[in-house]
Amino acid sequence: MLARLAELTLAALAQWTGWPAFRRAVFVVLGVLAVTAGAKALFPDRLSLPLPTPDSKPSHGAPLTYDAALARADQTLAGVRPLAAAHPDEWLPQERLAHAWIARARLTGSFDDFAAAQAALDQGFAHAARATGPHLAQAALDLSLHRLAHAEVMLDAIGRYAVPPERDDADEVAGMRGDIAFYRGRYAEALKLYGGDRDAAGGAAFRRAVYEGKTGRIDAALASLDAVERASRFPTAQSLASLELQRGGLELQRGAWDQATVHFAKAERLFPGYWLAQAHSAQMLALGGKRPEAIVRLATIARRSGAPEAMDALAALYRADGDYPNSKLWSDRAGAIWERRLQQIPEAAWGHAVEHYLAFGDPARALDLARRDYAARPYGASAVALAWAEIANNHPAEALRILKPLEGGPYVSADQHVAAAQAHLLLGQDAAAQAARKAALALNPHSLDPDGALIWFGH
Amino acid sequence: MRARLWLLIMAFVAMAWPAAAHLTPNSEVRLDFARDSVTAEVLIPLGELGYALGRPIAARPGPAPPELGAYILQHMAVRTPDGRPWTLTPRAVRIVADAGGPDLIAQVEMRPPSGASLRRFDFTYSGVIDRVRNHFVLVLVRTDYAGGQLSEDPRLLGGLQWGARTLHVDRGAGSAWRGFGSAIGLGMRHIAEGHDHLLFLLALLLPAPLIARDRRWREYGGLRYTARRLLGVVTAFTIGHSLTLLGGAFLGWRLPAQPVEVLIAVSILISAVHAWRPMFAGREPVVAMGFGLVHGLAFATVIGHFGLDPWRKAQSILGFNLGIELVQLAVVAAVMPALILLARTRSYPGVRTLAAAFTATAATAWIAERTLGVENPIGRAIDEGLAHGPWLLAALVAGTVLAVLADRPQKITPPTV
Repeated sequence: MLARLAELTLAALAQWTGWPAFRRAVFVVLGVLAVTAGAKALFPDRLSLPLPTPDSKPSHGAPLTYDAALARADQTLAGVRPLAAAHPDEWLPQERLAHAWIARARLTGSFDDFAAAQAALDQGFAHAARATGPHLAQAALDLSLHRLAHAEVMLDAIGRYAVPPERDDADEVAGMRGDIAFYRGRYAEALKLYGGDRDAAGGAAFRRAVYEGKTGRIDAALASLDAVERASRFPTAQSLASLELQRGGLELQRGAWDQATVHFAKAERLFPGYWLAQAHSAQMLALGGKRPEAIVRLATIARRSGAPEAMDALAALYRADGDYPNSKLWSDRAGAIWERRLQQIPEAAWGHAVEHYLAFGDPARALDLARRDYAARPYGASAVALAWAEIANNHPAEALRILKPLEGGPYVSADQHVAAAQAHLLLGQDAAAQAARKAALALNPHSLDPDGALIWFGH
Repeated sequence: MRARLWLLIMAFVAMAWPAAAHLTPNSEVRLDFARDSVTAEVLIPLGELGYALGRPIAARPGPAPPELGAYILQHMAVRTPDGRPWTLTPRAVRIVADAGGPDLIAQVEMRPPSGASLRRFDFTYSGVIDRVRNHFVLVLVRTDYAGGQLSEDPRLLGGLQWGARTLHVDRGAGSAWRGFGSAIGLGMRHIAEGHDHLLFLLALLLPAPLIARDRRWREYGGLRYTARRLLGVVTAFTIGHSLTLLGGAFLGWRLPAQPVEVLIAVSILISAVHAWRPMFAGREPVVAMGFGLVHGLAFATVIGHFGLDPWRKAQSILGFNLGIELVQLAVVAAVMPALILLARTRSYPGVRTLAAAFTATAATAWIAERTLGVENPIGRAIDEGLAHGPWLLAALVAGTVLAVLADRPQKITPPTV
């Protein structure tokens, strides 16, 4: 039988070598083209030549350190505030003031700054003529503060303008509508609004990176972030550091702790003094087993930034060491800030405060906040947070009911499987728990590590 | 546009995603059911225990401070379904440190009141979860001979947490037969999933149909010759591993796991060389028995883990051995017909040499892995390949058919006139 096969092969080869050279060449070229086209259609992400990872230098036209950026933000505010005060009945100066506050808020993460921005926009709207006003700025702020419905009202208002917005603004409006769809769990609609152009740069590429990251395509997300960086001509140090934090977050998502550490360290180098980058790096120290060093660094960051996330992370580190007094000290401090934030801008605080209450507070409170957040933004991450809150309140079956719609959907995270595994364990469903654990580990080999409790940034 | 893009990026970073919960390390309670008592092994991550107690606990491996034993007893209660308390006696409380972090491990013997069933009770436990609301306690059955639970993987019963501190345990009516059946299953799984044991056996089977002469494997020795040699090898291996299994389980014969595992890999390497060139032709049963002794030490650690009483241990060993023999016989029955047919063909020397080379490669990879304690890609690839046993058997059968057909005398057709 084998001999017969060999005989047939040899016969075919003999026939082949008898063909004229031109015909052979045409066949070879057509064959290569057909294989390439087929492979490209089947694996669009894998068959493009990788471009080198960009390594942009920060523009010297913007502050190069966190302290300088903060000073610049305060300087801008000092310039814009008198202008806004001098023209309280004009919305444009108020919008400029709001932008200045938002820029500061994005450095500090402070809800006071966001609240001040909102106050300026409120003032602007109070005096804006019908069908005019800072709608786009308000929509952007709304999205930052997780107010999807209000953002939609703003975007609808822009749609009713007598003069249609310019192309950039129109693109931004479409992108924001995509964000709203994404946070409402309408992933296909979001992707459509983000634009299907794979070669797009700028905001569309960035949004697509976020989308790809949250739908489990980490390499594609990293490539999209590279496209964003490559397309920018004069990036600021803060923006480059922010891109590195995004990249590190993506690596963290798939359990590549070493890669994440490299990105977070680069973020620190690009924008020295940035508390958020420092907090990410301190967290990686803890994951790398250098817990005492991480505690010292995080304590400094928490004191300097006043960020409750940093305080919670520090409290978690103390907890892992069994140090109740210090853990309680910092979690209480964080709790007080979260309470204040929940009063200030509730929608913006729900999703984040859930974490605090799940780790250190009252599970019933965590459940209440998680339910509110999920009602406002019924997408994957808030569903998973709600599932955890249900588990913490001894409702594992309810947690599984919430997680069920995520199965097989576009939203992909190891955490949803970890939550499902925990719910199954509490219900005594061993096989299902094992299957969920396996799924979690396939997405992130570190997803079940005991040290996972120390991850507060970049997930 | 550029400014807006960067604002967008910074917006996503500054208002990062709402995160998920932070899964803290769970506590575990592992139950071992004996004839007249149940032992609960309680494992608490030391960090979580310190957090619950309000003070850190030094992670010094060794016996734990006595107050931690008292803490466990204060937070555990077992009652019959009609409310009568069980007697709890602490046995050993120690601190261990491994890659997962330091843990407190406490063993508590639990005895029911007279006349009460050992297999139905309400287990209440509130360690850590009375103070820490996002801590969980998993309750598992590790050994329940009468319930047929005899496995290296504990079976989950349920979870406890803040607000849910009692678990009703009902293991149903137990029987010795269920335990015996479970032991047979364990033995079957152990040998079927233990690629090294199987490969050792296969390496011994490879030259079984052949006669050795002048330090070479020569012609096929016939069916009776092959059967006699097979019986000798399999019986000797069984006697060898049974002896050390009994010694390990009852007399505490122990060797550290690492040298035993390395020795097993060495035995496979030697068998592979023997399959290529006869090293101990005619004395295979003696060598198989010697290596059986080594393999038996590894089997003993499996049974030794279960902490059974002597009677159940004896039953388990019998069942475990029976399981091993059943799989061995199944392997011999599946492989030998093909090998006997192959041994009569011209292809067999090549097939045997290839199989011996593969076995030697696997053994060398395992020796390296087990000596250095580090996985290597060859070992991993071989393990993955051997996991597809049925396909390998199908390939052997197909190859045998091809080899037999190729050896058929060619029919010469007379030329037509």
